[in-house]
Amino acid sequence: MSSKNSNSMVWEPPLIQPHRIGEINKFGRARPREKQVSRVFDIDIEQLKAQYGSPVFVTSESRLRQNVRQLKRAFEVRYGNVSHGWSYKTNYISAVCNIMHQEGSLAEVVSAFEYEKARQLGVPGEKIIFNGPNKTRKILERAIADGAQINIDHLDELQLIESVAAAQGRCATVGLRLNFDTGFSEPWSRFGFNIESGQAHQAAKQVVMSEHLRLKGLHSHIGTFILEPRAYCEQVKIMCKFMRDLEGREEVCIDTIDIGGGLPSHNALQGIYLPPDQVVPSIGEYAEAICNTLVEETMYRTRTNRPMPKLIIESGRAVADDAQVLLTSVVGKKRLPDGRQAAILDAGTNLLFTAYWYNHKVDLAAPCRGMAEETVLFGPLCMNIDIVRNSIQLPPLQVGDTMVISPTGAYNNTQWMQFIEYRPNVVLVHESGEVSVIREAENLAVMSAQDRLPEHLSLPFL
Amino acid sequence: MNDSNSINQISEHKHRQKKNGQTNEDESTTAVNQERLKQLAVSETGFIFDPQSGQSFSVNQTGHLVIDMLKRSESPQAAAQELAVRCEKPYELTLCAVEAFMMQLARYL
Amino acid sequence: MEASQLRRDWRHWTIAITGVNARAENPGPGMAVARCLVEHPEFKGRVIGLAYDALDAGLYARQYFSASYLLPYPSSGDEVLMERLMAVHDYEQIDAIIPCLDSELPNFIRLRGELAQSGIRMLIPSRDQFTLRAKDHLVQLCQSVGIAVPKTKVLTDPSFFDRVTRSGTSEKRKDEEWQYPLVLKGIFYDATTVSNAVEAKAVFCQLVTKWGYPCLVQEVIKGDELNLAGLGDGEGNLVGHVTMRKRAITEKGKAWAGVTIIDEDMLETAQKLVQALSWRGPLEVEAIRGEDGRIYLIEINPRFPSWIYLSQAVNRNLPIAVLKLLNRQTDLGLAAPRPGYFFIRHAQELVLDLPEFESVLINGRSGPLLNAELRPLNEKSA
Repeated sequence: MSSKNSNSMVWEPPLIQPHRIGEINKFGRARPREKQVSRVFDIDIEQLKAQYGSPVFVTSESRLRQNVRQLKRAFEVRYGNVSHGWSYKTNYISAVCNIMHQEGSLAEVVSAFEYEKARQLGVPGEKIIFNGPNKTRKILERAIADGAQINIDHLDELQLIESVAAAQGRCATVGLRLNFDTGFSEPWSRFGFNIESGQAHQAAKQVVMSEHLRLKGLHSHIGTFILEPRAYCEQVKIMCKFMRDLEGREEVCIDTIDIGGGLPSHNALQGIYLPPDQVVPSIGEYAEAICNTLVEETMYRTRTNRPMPKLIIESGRAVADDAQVLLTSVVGKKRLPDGRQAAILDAGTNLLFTAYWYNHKVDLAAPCRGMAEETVLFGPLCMNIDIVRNSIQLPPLQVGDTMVISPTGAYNNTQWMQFIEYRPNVVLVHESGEVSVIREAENLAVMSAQDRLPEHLSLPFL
Repeated sequence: MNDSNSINQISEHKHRQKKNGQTNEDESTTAVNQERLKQLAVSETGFIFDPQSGQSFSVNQTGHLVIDMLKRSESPQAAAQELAVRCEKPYELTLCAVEAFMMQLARYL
Repeated sequence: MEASQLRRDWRHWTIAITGVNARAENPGPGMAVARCLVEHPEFKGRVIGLAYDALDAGLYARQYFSASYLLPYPSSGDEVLMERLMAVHDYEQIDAIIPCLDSELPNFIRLRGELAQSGIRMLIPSRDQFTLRAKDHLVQLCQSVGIAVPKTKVLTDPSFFDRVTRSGTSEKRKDEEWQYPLVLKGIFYDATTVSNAVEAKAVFCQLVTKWGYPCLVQEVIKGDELNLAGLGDGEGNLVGHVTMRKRAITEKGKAWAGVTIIDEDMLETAQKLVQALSWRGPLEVEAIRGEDGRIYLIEINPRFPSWIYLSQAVNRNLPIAVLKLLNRQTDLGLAAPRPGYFFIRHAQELVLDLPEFESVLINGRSGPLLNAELRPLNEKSA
């Protein structure tokens, strides 16, 4: 017990902490024995920091490809006729999108910007699925001319599409976005046409009657981070029943059933008690549930010798999330009045928007300097809500320590915000192991490029 | 299992009120009640029990040393000096930390 | 007898038991399970308590537990649990664990193979069995085997409560079949009856804060509450059971008085469920005999209930039967079911001195060390 050098002591500011009843358990929120990580996607962390600065997003090409292949395989072996639509809003950095397209994924876009981006990358119109509630006449003119598949969100849009197609003398291929109650998640009834109320039937009839519209597909999206495969069974059942009713009543044949996205990643959602490894079903379980139901519900087509509809999955998060991490550094630390250790990082919710709903995994790329204790991780913003982790057990930290925050591949590179800080480099680890920047860090020129100064405001002081 | 207990928060709150009363009377730099400090049961492991309030605490190694010295009626300055030597840190730094620790103690005692 | 020989016989095993919290209004089953073991005339082994908070009474109940240890909360995942269990194993040489809490079972299920490699046995269900009986799968399960079940809905959005009608109103809505009062349940624990939207939303928030999403709503069925504690052998057989009717309940709906009964319908229900699931391990079947005379299944708990001591009292000691099954002993030696034994739960203060409390706070353990030489190295050097 007694050390030979009994007089020397490791410096730590003296601290006394009262025991709070209900949380007296030193092992309660323990973490696995602290392992110092030194590499991400097989690249040295300190080297990445030295070359590309801190913070920096590190993306893995092989992981992205592997994930999307795995997803497709899971569905193909069970159903066959399957396409993946890469949901641009999950991560629309050009390199990421093109990795997906090279893997054969369609572009799933939800705005004029995303549509234009897909076209700019060289994606042909017929490989674009155009969703979203706000499609302007201008972008619809382009999409219809390009032959994109447009999923209609509401009646005004239906009329707009019809008028654009009529003006162009074309027949636009469209799908209907549907909403309904699966009984598993609260219905997202603000998007698309409601089945239960008869609205969807009415819209379908309107499309069928129009000589400028061809009803090709049905689309729906039941929500995000759906942890219950049975919810998708119910979704497929309801969509197929709608399809069958429709085909029985109208002169129409549906080619595609698009079940949207919503498959979870292995991120820890706040408000879920158990860790993700235990609550997130595997892709195989989802594929099994979805495909079995689809085969059952479309049996009537095989009996009448008609082709099975194509299944489209628009999964973003499950494909991209774990293919990216964020490296960030400790810029300062403090002891909060309640005794907790706090660290200020150079990345916060400005870059990690998803920290508002996930408890991200945090690995230390620094040596473990002692017992872990409850720690708060703050971002660099001057906003009280800029918190990366509200409570995490970490050993004593020092300025300059690097942390690896993961997974960050879904929704951060799109929902990040430009508030008081420049957005950092995003790099890609190629399949070859080479590393390159796929989105340059912002600088003053980027930030002020869109500013216009009226003549009389050209000087700050007169 | 995962919820903090409101009972304890109430007792801590009361406790603080009482202390505020004390600090108003005695506005010297260290408002730690010497008598209370001497009554504290401090174990080798850093476990502390205040027999007057029934509250228990954990203290780290440096804090333990400071409390031990204060209990022997040594000054905060002496404790800071001892820390400076043992931890090989500048006296200004350790003194500053000891003063902060005294303020923390004053909240609880 | 040689130590290695003793290890082969359940009578000399060291058994670790979780769920040793004993809050007066809602005690965990761990203390009762331990009591079943230590009061069985043939059991000569050690019982170790595994706790989640320094105020879990089992940590200090020396009459049942030779020693006790704190574990990481179930929400910390299985990796840290394994590390901690191995540290405890270093001290105690555990032969079997009887997990007693729903929320920790997913962790133990994942660790079953690894623990078995370290010589630690557990009679617990598989992940599939565990999932199929979960509160959010119960309706499906019951329908598949023809057991009546109250209408249940999985809920993540509290706006549902605004659409529930009060009984007697005739508003035409989609959810009109839902009427207050309703029972609201957390995904792992806790159930509260609510009678309006305001109350429902408040309870919803409490449950979600404590146990996470989702939450369940269930219609209220009136009738007698029947509970069956049982044991499945993993091959579809219910190899032991004790049935109890609640005679008085606490504010939280927990039994504080009950009596053993023989109810063939209840037994048949449990047998059907154990068979359908091929259930392996302890379970508690909670049901209501409705005013219409039918048995309605309320819940299947994947562990012993906290009233399990009643099984020792009627010579059908189910925790001992777990050890026998783990020891591949086929004759469980259970007496014939005996109705008419009452229990009344009471609270009692357990007194401990400062060093004991300190030991739990500082070292995360209490009780004398079996063999100081077995102490892990990291503690010696600390």
